[in-house]
Amino acid sequence: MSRLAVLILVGFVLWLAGCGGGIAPSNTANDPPAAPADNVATITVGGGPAGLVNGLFTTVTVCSPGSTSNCATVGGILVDTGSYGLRIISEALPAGFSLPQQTDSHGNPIAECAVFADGFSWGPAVTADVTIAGEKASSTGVQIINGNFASIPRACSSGGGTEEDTVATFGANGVLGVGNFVQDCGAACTVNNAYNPGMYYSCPASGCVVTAEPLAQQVTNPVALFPTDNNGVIVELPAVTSSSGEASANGSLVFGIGTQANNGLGSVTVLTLDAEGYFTTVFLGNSLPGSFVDSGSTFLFFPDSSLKSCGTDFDSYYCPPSTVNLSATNEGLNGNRTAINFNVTNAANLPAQNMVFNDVAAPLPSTLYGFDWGVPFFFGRNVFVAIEGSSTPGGTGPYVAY
Amino acid sequence: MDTGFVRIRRVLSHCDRILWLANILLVVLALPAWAELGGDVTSIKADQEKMHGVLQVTATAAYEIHEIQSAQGVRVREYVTPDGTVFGVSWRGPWKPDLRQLLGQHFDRYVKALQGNRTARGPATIQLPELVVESGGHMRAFFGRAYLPQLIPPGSSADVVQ
Repeated sequence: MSRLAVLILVGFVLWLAGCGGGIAPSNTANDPPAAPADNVATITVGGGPAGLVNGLFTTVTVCSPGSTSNCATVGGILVDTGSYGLRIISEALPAGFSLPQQTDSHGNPIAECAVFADGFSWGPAVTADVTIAGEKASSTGVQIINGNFASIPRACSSGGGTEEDTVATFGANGVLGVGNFVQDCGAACTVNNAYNPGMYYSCPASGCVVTAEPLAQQVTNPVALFPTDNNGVIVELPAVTSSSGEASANGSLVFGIGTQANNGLGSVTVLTLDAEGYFTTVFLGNSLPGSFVDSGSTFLFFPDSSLKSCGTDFDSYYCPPSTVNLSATNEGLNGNRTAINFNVTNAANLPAQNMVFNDVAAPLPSTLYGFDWGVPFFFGRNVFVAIEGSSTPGGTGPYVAY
Repeated sequence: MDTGFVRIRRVLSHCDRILWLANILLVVLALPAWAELGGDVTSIKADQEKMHGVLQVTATAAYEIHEIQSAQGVRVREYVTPDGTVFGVSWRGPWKPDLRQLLGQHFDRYVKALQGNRTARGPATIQLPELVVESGGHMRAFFGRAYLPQLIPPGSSADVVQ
């Protein structure tokens, strides 16, 4: 039974007890001062709306700020610890639904170019209340991904990769960025000069040009804006026990670290991160200082020249003749270290009906200097992601812990 | 590979200094740009003048590294053959550089090779006989490289592009 279901059941039982009048046992006489927020969202690993293997999905509700009627609930939203803020593909929203468009001081609409490792997503910046489980971020920046909005500036597509502006090309109905940073850009995008890296654009009829976007309007990790449980998240997924994968897997996205009875750190190891969110992975004797855990990466990506790649048809996966067992050590900026054991199987031999795998990996050259610990890393773990500048019982973020 | 370094020099001409000071005063409006993969080395300096950073050149016996550190925190390295052709580029920093400029005539090929529906999310790699592009990282922290296998100088390898 999911944690959410347990909470609902417990709540129902308590409600029944309250209705009974006087039948509550005496040890509940000291009522808690206020009910804590429901801080658990159900997450599912599966194909989602576009058949994305190892996609990690949840459901969010967006409303016009302050409204309880102009709202839309959207499932199939990727849970991504490698980005920050909510983005929804326009086509995944109900027909006719809209949220207040952000504008600049001249009334021109603001749009954003969100850049990912494998491509970019373009579309307007809007303002919305974002609700996930029982938590709400009020009046925050959200991106509506829509390649038909105005016209995509050349500078946006110059980041390279795929234009990911549809459910099919994005692989999901949207993405919920709950990583270690608060904003998707930060201070660099608040300046109106040539140093602005160019994520936000003002779009008069003459065309979109880079513009300054105040921090408060930037697309923001909604967790950081929750009234409580706002210092980070836990991604909790069960172990995948079948070497040939599973059809789906269910887990929990828990909000807050050490703020409620259900989100304590326990005995995990805290790995603090550098300014870009990296720690170091030592693998095969190589030190890879640009390493990170990322629930938005669907597989493990790392360098191992001894592993056979799948050839031209499956160029980006490893295909060893038989499953291999490997180990690596992750080391935080604070010097804390943990050893990780993992398997890599032949990606070409996996059953097509399954969507959940803990042993699929793909090459990255060691010269790229990073180990990308994607979704397979999360199976069988509770992974804590603490937000920059936030206090937690494990210290101040940013850090990851597991 | 450090043992192969024979000289290090900073390239800061009079004009560069003026431009650098101008950058400090936040009045330069030009966007960053770089020489292109497969292009001529002489374009690096002209392009560097449009970029908000300092160019440093390091030479080995087999190739030169032209490294530009931008004011935005993005580091770009260009690897140049003895006859002056850019055979590899790499990048690292909180934002991607302008890959259309950096990859030049190879940019469209790179984009076309990645087109299609998503079967995975994460780093994007293409390995064509004549062009390799590898792009990794996550939002606010990107890294990657591209090179032309057929132009790698004798005695060197793709591993030097990093």
